Amino acid sequence: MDYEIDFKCIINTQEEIPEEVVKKTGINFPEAHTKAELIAKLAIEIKKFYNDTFSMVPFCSTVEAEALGANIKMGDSKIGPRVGKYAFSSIESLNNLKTIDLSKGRIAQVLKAVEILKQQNERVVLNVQGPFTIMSSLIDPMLFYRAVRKNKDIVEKFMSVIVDSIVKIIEEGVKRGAQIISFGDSAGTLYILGPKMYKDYSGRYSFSVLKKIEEKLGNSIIHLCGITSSSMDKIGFIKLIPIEVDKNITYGQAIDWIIKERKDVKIIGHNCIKKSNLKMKNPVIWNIQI
Amino acid sequence: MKDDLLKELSDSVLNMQEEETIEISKKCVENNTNAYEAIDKGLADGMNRAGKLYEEEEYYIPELLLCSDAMYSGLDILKPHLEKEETENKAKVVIGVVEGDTHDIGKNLVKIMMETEGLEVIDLGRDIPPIDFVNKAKEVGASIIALSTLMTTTMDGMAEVINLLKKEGLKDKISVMVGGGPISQSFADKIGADAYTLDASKAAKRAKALIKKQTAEII
Repeated sequence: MDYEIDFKCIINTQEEIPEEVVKKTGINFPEAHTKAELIAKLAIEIKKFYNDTFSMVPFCSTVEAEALGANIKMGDSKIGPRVGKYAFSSIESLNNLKTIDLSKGRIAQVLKAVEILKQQNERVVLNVQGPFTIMSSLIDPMLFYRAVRKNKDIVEKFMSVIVDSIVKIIEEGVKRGAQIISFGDSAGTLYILGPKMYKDYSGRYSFSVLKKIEEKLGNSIIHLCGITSSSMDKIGFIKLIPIEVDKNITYGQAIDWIIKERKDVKIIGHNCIKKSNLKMKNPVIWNIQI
Repeated sequence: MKDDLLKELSDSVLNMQEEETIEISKKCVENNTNAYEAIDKGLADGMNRAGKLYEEEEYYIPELLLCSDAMYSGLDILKPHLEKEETENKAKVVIGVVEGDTHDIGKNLVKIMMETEGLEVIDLGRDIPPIDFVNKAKEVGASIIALSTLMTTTMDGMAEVINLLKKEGLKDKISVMVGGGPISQSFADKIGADAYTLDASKAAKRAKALIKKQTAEII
């Protein structure tokens, strides 16, 4: 059977927290993004609203960057957390980036929320942003492209701090009980960067994260975002192997089956984790080998 | 000799050579080359060639941004030497990313291509409340408001800008252009935008067409 290898990202409104859920829980924003108990409560209600298999945290893409020094405007129930002023504005200042501290701030609360959800027997997805996405929340991407030409060493050091920080988050997330680490680098795809920059930088950094974390996952798995896996596949960083699954189950149920029945499979993806509550058009889970 | 210099200027922008672009721009000034011609047939020409390579998938976003770096460095040298009339009477575009969204590379590229086409672009930046677009457009006498977003959660802000313009009776005077990942022609039609374009080059050309139409209507 021929499986459609090309992944198309369909941006959907599941980025928003449903108004109904906001009303039902009575949780205020931006508080909801900052306290473990509220994060966990909201995650469960969102899961119920979408009839989903998993509770997913966090609800924004800024937690990692914030822990590395990004200025984040917290927003309200309609407009979520987003980057304010860039944290680093010169090539030399990139030297100042320190590895992430998981014991403070929102990242600590998100990890605690994972623990709370696990204790309540929830199946937990921890969303983790990729190196380029985090980089572009810390600095103007323009600065990155300039720095790559003028001072590769500083760039390598900066990005290796980000890569190591991502690995730390994933390790801790697994330890706290996340069954799935949803990993994607939407700001650093082949389509944006072109083959050279992708191969030499973005793809290489994402590959490095996967290589470093592969043996430390225990019974958890990584779900690789479809745009990220498409880019990695086209350049040759990964191999995609289809595993046929039951066509009458949802994507989330299929992922659960893989976790329970296929211990040999550590990385899956080439699809959108946000479709976990839907039945699959193509009843296939993509096993990803690096 | 002049043509060689202009070709060199265009090449240095196309090849993302910032230092070289500055050097050649200085040479143009020393040789009394007409600043407008140097900008139009040198810098802007290089940027347009870069835009074509982008459409052909030879250049990607990093390359376009580095070309623009070179172009802007050249502009810094040449702009002070423009004749006064050449700096006035440029049609104005107010551009920005809608409130809640901070993805701005696309918006930056649109700004670059619009400036390459001879428009004056007032860039409000990212995460901009709808009312700020309207206020700025009024303040500077803009012909166009250009709105960008990459997130579905912020698309409503675009409709809000148009509603505010209608409330102030300005919808006929100021055209609204929209663009970005989740935007489509049907969304643009639904909210009453004047134009939707897929990429930076098309946006720049469409902006010029809209302004021509506006001018024709006044006459």
